[in-house]
Amino acid sequence: MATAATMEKAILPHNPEDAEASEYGGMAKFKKDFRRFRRNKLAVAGLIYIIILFTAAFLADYVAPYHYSTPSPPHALETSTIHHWFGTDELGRDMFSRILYSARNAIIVSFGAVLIGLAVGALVGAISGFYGGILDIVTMRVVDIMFAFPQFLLLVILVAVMGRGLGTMFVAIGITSWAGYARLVRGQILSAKNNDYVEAARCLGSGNGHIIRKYILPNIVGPIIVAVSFGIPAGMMAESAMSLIGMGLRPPMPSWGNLISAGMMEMYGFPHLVLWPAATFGVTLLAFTFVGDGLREMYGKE
Amino acid sequence: MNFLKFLGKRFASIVIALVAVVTITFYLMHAAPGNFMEMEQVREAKAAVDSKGRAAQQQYEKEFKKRYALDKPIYQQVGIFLKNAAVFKFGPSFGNPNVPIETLIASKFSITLQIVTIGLLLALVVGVPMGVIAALKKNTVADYSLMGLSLLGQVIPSFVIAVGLIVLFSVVWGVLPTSGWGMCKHLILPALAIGAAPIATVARFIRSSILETLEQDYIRTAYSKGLPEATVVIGHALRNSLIPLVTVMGPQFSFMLLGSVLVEQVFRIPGLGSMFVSAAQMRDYPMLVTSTLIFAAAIMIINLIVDMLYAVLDPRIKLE
Repeated sequence: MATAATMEKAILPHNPEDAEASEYGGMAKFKKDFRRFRRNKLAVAGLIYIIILFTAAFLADYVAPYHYSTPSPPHALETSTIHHWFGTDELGRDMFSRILYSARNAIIVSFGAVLIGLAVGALVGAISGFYGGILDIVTMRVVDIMFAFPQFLLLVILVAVMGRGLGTMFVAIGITSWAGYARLVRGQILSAKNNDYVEAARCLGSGNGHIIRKYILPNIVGPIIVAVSFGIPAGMMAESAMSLIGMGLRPPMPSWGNLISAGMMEMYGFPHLVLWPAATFGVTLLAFTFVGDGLREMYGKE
Repeated sequence: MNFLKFLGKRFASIVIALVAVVTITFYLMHAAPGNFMEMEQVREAKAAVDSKGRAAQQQYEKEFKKRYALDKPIYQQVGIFLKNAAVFKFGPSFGNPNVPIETLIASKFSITLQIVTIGLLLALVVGVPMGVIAALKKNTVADYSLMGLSLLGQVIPSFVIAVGLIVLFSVVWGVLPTSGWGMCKHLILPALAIGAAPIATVARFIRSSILETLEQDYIRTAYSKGLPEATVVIGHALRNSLIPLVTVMGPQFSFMLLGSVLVEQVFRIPGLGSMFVSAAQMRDYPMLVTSTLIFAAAIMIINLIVDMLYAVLDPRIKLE
C-alpha cells in the first residue's frame, strides 16, 4: 500500500492545484478558493447577513428582547416602537422576537433536513455510483420514482402520517430531498471514477479506500457544498410553506409561514404583522441565493 | 415509427411512475394515525348515529368501510383504485359521499389550470419583452433593475409574493380583492403571484440567449446588410431563442402547478391544491390519492408534451 502511494507521487503528474493543496494542506486551497468567493460582493454581503442571523438565532434565548409566546395584552397590535421594533401581534407578543425564533426554527429544520437528506442520499449515491451493476440500476429506479413524486405533495402526505411538529418537519423534508443528493453524488463519482488519474492509481495497485479518499472525495466536496447551500433555503421554504397551510410547526411556536398566515387575518388594519415576516423571510432567502451563487463560482471549473 | 416507439416507451414509464406514486400514497395513508371517522368535524356529524348506541355505530362504520373497500387488504385496495382510475372513475370521497370525485376534480382542476395558464401566458407576455429590453440595454440601469426584479421573482417563493401583492393592491390601493373566486378580478393577483417565477426565469433566459446569439456570424451579416438594430434583435436573435424557450417553460409548468397549492391557500381559491390540502388534513383518503395522482399525471404529461414539441420545432433534436 505504502509503495503504491509513493510510486503514485513519483509517477502521476498532479495538477498544480493538487500540488499546492498537498504542500500547504487543505486550508491553503480553501483560502485560495475563498479569494474567488470574496470577489463576489453580493455573496459576501449575503454571508455576513447569514452569519449575523445565525448568531442571533442561536442566541435567541439571550438576545431576543421577549420570549416568543409571552403575551402582553396592553401592548397588543402596536406598530414599531422603541420597545417593539417590529411591533406586536394581536396578543401583544413582540414581533421581532417571534421572527428571530422563526429564523431559529427554520435553521433547525433546514439543517436537520439537509443532514438527513445528504446522509441518505450521499450513501445511496456513492454505493450506487462506485459499485455500479444491478445495485446501481435498482437504486436509480427508486430515485426516479422519488423524482416522479411531486416533492411538496409527498411532504404533505408524510406530515399527515407523522403528525406536525419541529422534529417531523425536518425528518419529512429530509426524506423528500435525499434523491437529489443521491443523483448528484452518483454523477460526480461516475465522472471522477472514469478519470485517467483514477485508472492510473488503480493500475499502480491502490485500493478502493485509498482511491475514494484521495481522488474521489476531494472532487465531490465542492458540488456537495454548493448543493447544500441551495438545499438549506429550499428546506426553509418547505418548512414555511407547510406552516403556512397549517401543517408545519405547532403554534405558538413561530415560523415564517404561520406568522404570515396569522398576519393575513389582520392585514387591513395592521399590515406590519404580515409585512415584517414576509420581508425578513425574503431577505434571508435572497442572502442564501447570493452565497450559493458565490460558492458555485468558487468551486466552479472555469 | 420511431416516434410511436418513443411515445410508447414514455407512456409506459409514466404509467409505471403513476402506479408507484399511488401505491406509496396508499401505504403511507394507512400508516397514518387517526382516520376520517375520528376527525372533529366528522364526529359532530356522526353524533346522531353514535347516540343510537354501540350496535348502530358499529353497523355504520362497517357499512362505511365496505363502501370504500376499506375492509380489504391494502394491496387489493390499490388494485381496485388503479383499475377504476384507468377508466377515470374514482368513486365518492369520504367528505362528499354523494358526488363522484371525478366530477369534483373536473371543476377544481379547471380552476387551478386557469390560474396556471394565465401565469404561463404572463411569463411569455411579460417575461419575453423584459428579456429583450434587458438585452438591448445591456449593462444600463434598465438592465440592472429588470434583472434585479427577476432575481427577486426567482428567489422569493410564490406565497410570499402573493402576500406582497395583496398588501399592495388590496390593502394599500384597494383595487383588487384579497380572496375569493368567480370573477376576472379574482384571477389577476393569483396569476401574478404564481407567474412571478416563470416571468423571471423567461426574462433571464431570453436576455442571456439573445446576448449569446448576437455574437453569431449571421447577426453580423444582418447588421452589415444595414438592418436596424430592433429588426436584428427581434427578427433574428429573439427568433432563435424561442425554440429553446419551450424547454424552459416545461419545468416552469410543473413548478407552477405545485406552487398553486400554496397560492390557492393564500387567496382562498377552491382549486385542486386546496382540495388536496383539506383532504390531507381531513384524512379523506380517496380524495388525497386522487388529487395526488392528478397532480403527478399532469406534470408528467406536460413534460412529455414539451419533449415532443421540442422535437417537432427543432428537427436537429432526436427523440429518445
